[in-house]
Amino acid sequence: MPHLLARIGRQSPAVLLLVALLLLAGIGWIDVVTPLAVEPLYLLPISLATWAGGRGGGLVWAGGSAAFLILADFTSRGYATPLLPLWNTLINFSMFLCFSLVLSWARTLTRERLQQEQDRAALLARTDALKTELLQAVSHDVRTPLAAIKTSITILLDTEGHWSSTSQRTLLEGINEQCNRLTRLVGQLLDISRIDGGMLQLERDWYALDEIVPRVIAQLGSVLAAHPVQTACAPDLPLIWLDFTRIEQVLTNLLENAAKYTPAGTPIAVTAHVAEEWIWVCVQDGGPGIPAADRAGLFAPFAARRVPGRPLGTGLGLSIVRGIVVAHGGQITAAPPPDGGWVVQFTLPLGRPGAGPSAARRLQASPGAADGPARSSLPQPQPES
Amino acid sequence: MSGVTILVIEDDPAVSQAVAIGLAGYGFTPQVAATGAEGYRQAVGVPAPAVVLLDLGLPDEDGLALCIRIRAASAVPIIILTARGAEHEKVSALESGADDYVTKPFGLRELLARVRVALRHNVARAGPPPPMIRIGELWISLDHRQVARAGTPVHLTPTEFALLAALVHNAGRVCTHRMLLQTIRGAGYGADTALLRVYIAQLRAKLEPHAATPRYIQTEPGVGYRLTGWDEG
Repeated sequence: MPHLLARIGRQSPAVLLLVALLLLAGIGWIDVVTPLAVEPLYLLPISLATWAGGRGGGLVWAGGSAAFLILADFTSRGYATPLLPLWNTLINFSMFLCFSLVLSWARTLTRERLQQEQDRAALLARTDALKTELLQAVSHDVRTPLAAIKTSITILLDTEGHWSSTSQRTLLEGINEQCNRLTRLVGQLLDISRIDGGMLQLERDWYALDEIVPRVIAQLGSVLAAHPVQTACAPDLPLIWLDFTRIEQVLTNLLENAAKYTPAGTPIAVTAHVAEEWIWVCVQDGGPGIPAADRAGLFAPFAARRVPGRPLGTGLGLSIVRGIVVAHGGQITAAPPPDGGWVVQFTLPLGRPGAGPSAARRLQASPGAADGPARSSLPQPQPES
Repeated sequence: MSGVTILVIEDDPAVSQAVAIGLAGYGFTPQVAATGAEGYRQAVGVPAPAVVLLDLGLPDEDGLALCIRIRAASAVPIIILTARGAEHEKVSALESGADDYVTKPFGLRELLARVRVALRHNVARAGPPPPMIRIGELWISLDHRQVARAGTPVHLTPTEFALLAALVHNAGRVCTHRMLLQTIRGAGYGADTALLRVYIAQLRAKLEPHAATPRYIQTEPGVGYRLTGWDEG
């Protein structure tokens, strides 16, 4: 039966209306020339008309069908009582109502199922695309450091050429740097696959953001050496329910990017303030901004920007940053601010999910309360590789 | 080799640095360019480099397009450095005027061997070909169309000889399938690699001490063949 209905449903509206018209004519003829009680059969053309013409079509058909029925009753049998035609009309319109309800319910169901199938197909396609990109990225990003390592090692093993100890030292330092690059890449690939698979585990606790920011800046030391960094955290920042290492990773990455893509001497500003139920963190630089062509898909994996004379990044950094922020329940955006440069800002929710939005405020009001977090609960610094 | 300038067009500083140090250790003078524009300027500039090492994945320009541009302006040997390992890319580079390629990651010896072959061909282009060529235990006279293996004359059919001559002319360098097929059958036979494999097998059977583990005619998978053993002679 559902199969038959589906087949009928696939017909064009014109065919359905034609069938409905023929049915109406046939039933009308039987109704008028025979003494058979075929009034209920009028309901079939109504269902077909509703199917083909939607609610408007069904309503018009139900009215027309009722009028036809009354006319048939009067002409063939000469009923003078108004009750029966009224009853027939009522039946006609009720049938239309019932059928149109059933139909819209069925259509919603079908649409939902179609949507689900499309979603699943889109997810598969995305996973597939990610896999291909991953393979391409791996083949490029792994081979390039490997090429440098291999060439360097074959030089160091060579006994016929002549190299100064300075050159050999440079080669060894290069090998060390390329090993770090590969280690970083493996970590990033693991992160991105965890984020993409929704497997990112956050170790959250209450932390003060205005303690994380100076820490990250201190750790970045040489990277930020050429850039004056200003920090402006609002004095009344509440504690945030976050994963310390991951948010540190977010800030490290944003600051590294700001330093990497702007000329030396460009100032970088980190600000944090509270607005409504969110804490807003902005990393702004006074650099040349990002070319419009590179802005789309800025947060997509493998969207690395090429900077001549610099090894091409994996393009995983911002994608991981977004994954971490989203896992915290926040959002991240990037845009050129009106006063030039580039700004990336992300939000983190105040309070703890499930504990109500006012939890953080309460905690802030009484930081020494028995159930409140201690502001000094920073973890020990992780050894940097 | 002292003072011979080699231009390295490579955007990754780690790779170009290692290559430059490696070449310098053998007395070459390396020059590094990190972009296509800079590379082109140095490749066709004065003094001209003796060999160009060109990375195909450059930030500002398609490596193949740059290869064509350099070839249009200069006869300098171009050796492609490719990290992608895609054979069709190597073939298009070779057909766009590149002389040879090295697949990343490569060792210093491999790179030096390619550079030396390229330099030798650059010198050989100027003078007449030598009357007798010795490769390992093979003696080949292109003028008299005679080949001897370990002192014993070897009879080659005209097609086999044409194929061998093409390989000898490019000794040490890779020859693409299309290039070899056009030598033996003329233009239009560029796609029939099965035919080429048959002739190569015949040639190996006559010239190689062990046809299964060829010493002279090496297969470059997906690209073509290379005659090696020159340096041993």
